[in-house]
Amino acid sequence: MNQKLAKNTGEYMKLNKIGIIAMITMTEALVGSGCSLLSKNAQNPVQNSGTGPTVSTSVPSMAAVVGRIQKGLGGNVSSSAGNFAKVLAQVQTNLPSVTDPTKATGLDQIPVLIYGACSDVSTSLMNSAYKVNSGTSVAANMAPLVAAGVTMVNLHVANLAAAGTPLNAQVSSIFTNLVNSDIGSGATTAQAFYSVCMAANSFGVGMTGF
Amino acid sequence: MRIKVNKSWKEFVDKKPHPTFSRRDFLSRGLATSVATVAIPHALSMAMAKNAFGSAASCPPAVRTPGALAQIYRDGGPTVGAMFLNQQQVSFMNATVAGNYGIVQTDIAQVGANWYLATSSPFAIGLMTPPSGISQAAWNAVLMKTSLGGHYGAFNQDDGAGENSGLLGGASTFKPSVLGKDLRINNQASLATWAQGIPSTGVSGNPSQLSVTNGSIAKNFGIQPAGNTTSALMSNSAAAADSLSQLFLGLFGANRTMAQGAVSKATCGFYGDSVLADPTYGNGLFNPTAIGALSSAITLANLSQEEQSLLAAYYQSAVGSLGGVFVQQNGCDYHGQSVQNTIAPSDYEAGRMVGMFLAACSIAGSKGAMIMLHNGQAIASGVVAATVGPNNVNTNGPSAQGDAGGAYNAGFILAFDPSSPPVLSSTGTFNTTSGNVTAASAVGASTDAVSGLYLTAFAHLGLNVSQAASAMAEGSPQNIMLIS
Repeated sequence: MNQKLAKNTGEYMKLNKIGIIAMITMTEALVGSGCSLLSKNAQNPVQNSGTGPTVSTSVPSMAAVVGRIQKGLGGNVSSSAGNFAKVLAQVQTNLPSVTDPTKATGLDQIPVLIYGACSDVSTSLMNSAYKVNSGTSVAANMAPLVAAGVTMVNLHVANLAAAGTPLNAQVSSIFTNLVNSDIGSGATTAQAFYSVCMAANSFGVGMTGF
Repeated sequence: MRIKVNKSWKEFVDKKPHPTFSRRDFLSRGLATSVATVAIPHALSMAMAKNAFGSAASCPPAVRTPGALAQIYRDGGPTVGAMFLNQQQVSFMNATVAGNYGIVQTDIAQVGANWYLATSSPFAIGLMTPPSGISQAAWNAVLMKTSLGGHYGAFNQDDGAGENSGLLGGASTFKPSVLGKDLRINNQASLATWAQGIPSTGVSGNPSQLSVTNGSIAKNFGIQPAGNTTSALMSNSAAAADSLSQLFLGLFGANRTMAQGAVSKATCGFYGDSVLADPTYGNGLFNPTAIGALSSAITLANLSQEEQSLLAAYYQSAVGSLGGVFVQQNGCDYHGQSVQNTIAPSDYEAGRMVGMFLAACSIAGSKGAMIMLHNGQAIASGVVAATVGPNNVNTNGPSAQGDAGGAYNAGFILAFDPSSPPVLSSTGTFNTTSGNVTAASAVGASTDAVSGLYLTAFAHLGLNVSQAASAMAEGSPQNIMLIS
């Protein structure tokens, strides 16, 4: 009786193994061929429009935009004061009002608002918070400008580009290129900081895809 | 003694049909699978992302499509009979119809190629009075280059019932422009389903609050504070943000539906913002005194701030900087309202809006299509004398009574062509005794009527009608269009 049970159990386990392997192989084949298990939803945006939300992405609406900007700037600016408040009052009705990416408009207004918020970082705050000395040349501030950009990006991506990670080097490279481009465009140090601030936060607020 | 043991078929084959897996084998293959599952889609998505977000070059180019497109949505139900009249209405006009429409029958005169106005109505005074600087003869010639079309009977839902039934359209997706967006002024009612998500910039407040001096439109096309950046620096910044999005897109799931689309919209929007760094950009577009063609043709100082603002906005649509201009005029629920204080000023304002639109088209030398919609209407009982405008011109305004969208209503399109007016038609069956109207079956629903008016406008302006019809889910667009 026990032998029969053991035999049945063994065959069951063997079949189970085969089933698991088959499943894995099928998944591997699907993945290898570029298929997605969600392919039925992978329509183009035009097909999606007007047929209800079949998307798995969302865009930030006004409250999220404001919150993300404040987060990216490390709490150094406030949406209720300065240029941030002034520009917010101007563009708030044009920021995305829905999170459905097929219906949301106003994503172009996000960098405009970020510019206003970044402009609230005074030269003294630039120096104390980001070690950027606006009294010296852009080239002399290359390292702190790049570091400021990396810091802001990390605040948006949960430190994925923290020091020592491969992403850190790539993000730093992007900001190095940006600062060099700004030097070529005749930027002052403060303008270069605002340029870095806009790039980092525009990415973090509206260009991550969620 | 021999012991017989039953054997399965498996013990007679030379080789087992599959290898036996140890736990280590299994874990090893599982690890490989896991790596493949993560790495392959990551690599694929990064490759796709690279194609999708290479640079500003992947964004749609700024294309200037000449031709003005505009809509006035008169919210609340005005006396629609005291606006445009078509040839058929004029032919059966009698005292009863004139009373219901709130007009003086003997005042009716031809104004456009196929349309008429009761010339003493506030709407007619607003529209037929030329903008200062243009002679009456020249203005009359402009008006004669217009043609009227209409879907009559489909807009029978009064007040709140019709307000959010999707009577505001959109254009920028179908009419490429430099700014790539529409301008929406005071748009509070819901948009047509197909118009939702079409890029636009909104200006809040009633159109009567528009001000060139305060730059109420222009300030939405600029950045503040000025001086902390330049167009070149913003382009540099956009390129860096673009690179960051490429770097992280694979990690965050490029394969999620619309992930690429959402990032692409944001990226292209950022690239497009670079022009805003020019502190004169918005003013150059929306202050008519900064536009030579307008300031030389019209004595702008004699126009109100609202008229100047709309003139510039319509002009930017006409020359292809903007998609369309969509204005919601509030306070048009005429039921029980004072003719002098509410009805006549509102009709006069609407007439001036149409006038500014036609002036902009004429000066730009481009085609134009203006759509006018209303949620229901108020039936009239004759006229009441009232004065309108800065010169207190005497008019006969409609003495509006109860809501009666079910009796008479209309959605109009006025098309302008600087060469010769197009041939537009109308739908709906009139009761020649009362002037009431019944909608045609093809446009029994106001949604179809709105689509038909917009498709007509797109066809007149030479835009892609089939693309628009598809977005509107209109399978037989010819059945609802008013242009042949």
